[in-house]
Amino acid sequence: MKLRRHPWVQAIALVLLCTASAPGIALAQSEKPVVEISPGRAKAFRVAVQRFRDRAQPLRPSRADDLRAVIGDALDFTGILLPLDPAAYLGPDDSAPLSNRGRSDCPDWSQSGADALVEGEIRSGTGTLEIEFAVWDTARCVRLARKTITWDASEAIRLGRTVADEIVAAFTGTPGCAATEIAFVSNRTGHREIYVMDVDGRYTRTATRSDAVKSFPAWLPDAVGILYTSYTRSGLTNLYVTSRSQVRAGRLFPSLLPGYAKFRGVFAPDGEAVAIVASTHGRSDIFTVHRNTGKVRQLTDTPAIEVGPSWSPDGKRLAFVSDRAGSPQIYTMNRDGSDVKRITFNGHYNTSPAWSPKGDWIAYETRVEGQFDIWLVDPTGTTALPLVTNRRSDEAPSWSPDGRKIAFSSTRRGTADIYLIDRNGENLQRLTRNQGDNLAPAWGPFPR
Amino acid sequence: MSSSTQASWLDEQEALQRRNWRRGVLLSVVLHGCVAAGLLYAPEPEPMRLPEVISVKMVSLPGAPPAPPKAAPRKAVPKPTPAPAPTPARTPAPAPKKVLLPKRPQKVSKKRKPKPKPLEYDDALAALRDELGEPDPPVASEEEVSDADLLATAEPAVSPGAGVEVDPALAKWLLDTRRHLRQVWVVPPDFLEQGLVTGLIVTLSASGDVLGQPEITRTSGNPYFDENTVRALVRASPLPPPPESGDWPFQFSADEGP
Repeated sequence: MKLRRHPWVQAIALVLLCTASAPGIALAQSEKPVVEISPGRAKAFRVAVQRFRDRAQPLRPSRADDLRAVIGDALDFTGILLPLDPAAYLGPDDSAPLSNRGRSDCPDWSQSGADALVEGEIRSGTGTLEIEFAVWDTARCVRLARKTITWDASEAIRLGRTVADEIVAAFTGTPGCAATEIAFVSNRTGHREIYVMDVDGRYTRTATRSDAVKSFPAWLPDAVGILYTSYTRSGLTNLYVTSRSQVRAGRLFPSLLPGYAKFRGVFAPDGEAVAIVASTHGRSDIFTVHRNTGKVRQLTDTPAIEVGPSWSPDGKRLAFVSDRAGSPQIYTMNRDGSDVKRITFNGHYNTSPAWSPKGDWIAYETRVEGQFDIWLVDPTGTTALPLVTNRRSDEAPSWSPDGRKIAFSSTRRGTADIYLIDRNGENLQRLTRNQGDNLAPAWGPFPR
Repeated sequence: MSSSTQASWLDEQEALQRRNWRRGVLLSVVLHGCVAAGLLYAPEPEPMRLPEVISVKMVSLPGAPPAPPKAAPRKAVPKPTPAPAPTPARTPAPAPKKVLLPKRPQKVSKKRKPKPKPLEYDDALAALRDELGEPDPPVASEEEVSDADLLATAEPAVSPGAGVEVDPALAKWLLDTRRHLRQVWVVPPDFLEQGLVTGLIVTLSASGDVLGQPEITRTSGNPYFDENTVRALVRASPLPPPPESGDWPFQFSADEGP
């Protein structure tokens, strides 16, 4: 009896008892099933955008509301975070001064149905407009981003769209593409000129103005200019740059490959090299030219026609078109011309490759019964899928810089127009209408 | 397609097709002639003679024979269709042939108690997929997901193949929790087709409240996706009351299948 009352004995007995009975009264951690969750139907977050505090001069009563409308439209365009109707807000509609403190009203916003809350302030500088804003995750009540963006005061719309793109980046890591632009070729004035428009098809402006025929616009990597092809008076084609004044406009590499017709140029993602299609004596090959040194390297050297270079996002490989197997097909190769691989095997006529910014797909056009459809193929050529199919022709795919959308030209309404479609084949949008033929879209990079 | 180079391709291509067509017609005429000559001059075959008696020996079997496994129909390589373009799926491994797996059971009546599914079925299915080099089956849309479907993956995380059955109360909680989280979890297209999987441990109260911040035990490699799973769990709180309070393992997978 004395032994049983000893405190050490009692403690050991208690431990043994607990150890022995534990499995019986609770599931051990290792025995608990893993709750496996797969995606449901919800594809877009909901965001509450407050009216930003307006401290800019001169005073304009509608500035904050206009900005909120621009941000909302831009968020709708990207489709990752959809704006909530302010009438549903359980929190204040107007932004308070930004601070580094936490929020106490997250449950209100969460209950409003908002996954995200955006607050901000508008300020003015010398000829500029500045917006400071913060993005909140309402469920965890954590601030995901706080940024300041400054633009020319005349570009308030671009400023609002950039804010929207940054809100998307705070939730996904990749900005939206609402503030980017699309270059294209149009004969709306009777001449084939290069034009630039916003991604919603508005604010179209001319980038070139001459009588010569132009084609194949391709953006400089920092979006300050556009490289394009134009016929010269001698009848040959050459490469030119049209600029927004940051770089020198004019003919590119005037002494390059004399006697060759330069059909097309595409800058590498790092901007260091340009892939060029040049033709002489009935054959066409792909070259690269170093932007600063002018050093030329011939990448293809076969009797076949080889055109349509498109860089991989890391700049290490190029997709291109070759008819070396008897019909035009898509191939890839290293940037020095080695390791050539054919990646399209379906269809007898596949052209216009466009490598996606994430590197996972190459869009191309394929001829089916005399017209063209747009397909996707992975860079190894293992999987090919239709993206855009129609009785009329869909051609010249070009990826948005965020990889979420593709621009292309289509004759589905008679004349050729520029359309957009999501990468998953949804949300077809027509950008140009009733203004001649609009061709060869080239989606610009993120603004820097 | 505006350059003269590409236009010349078109011309060459059409000339080549015309040449091929002429050769094909000529070859076809020659082959038909050969076949007709063979039929005219071939000797008549002798009729097959049958044996006068056919004997059959009956043997007894130890038991009812198992039903022969149904041959899985093979799916051809997908062709382009004029229907709306499908979602592009990333399947890096070559899959020249697809095998249609047996359909999952139809919607189970809610009055019936959901019968937990033993592990062997899914293990066998997984082994079959591995053998055929097939990826996991696609996830059905919300409307198509039945209770049985949801339960199919609600097995305990014990050694595979052990055949352990899930306690009905636990199975119901797993079902309710999965359904609840699938409604709350927002997965933008950015996160799909990359095989992102995040594992977490979540502390739940007896009433299903998420206590504190879920802890990530297995990162997907994409911090925004990891953050998104934590957000979903916090936003979904309270979950259905669990069989017992404490830590519970969760796994979020963005893979919708091919």
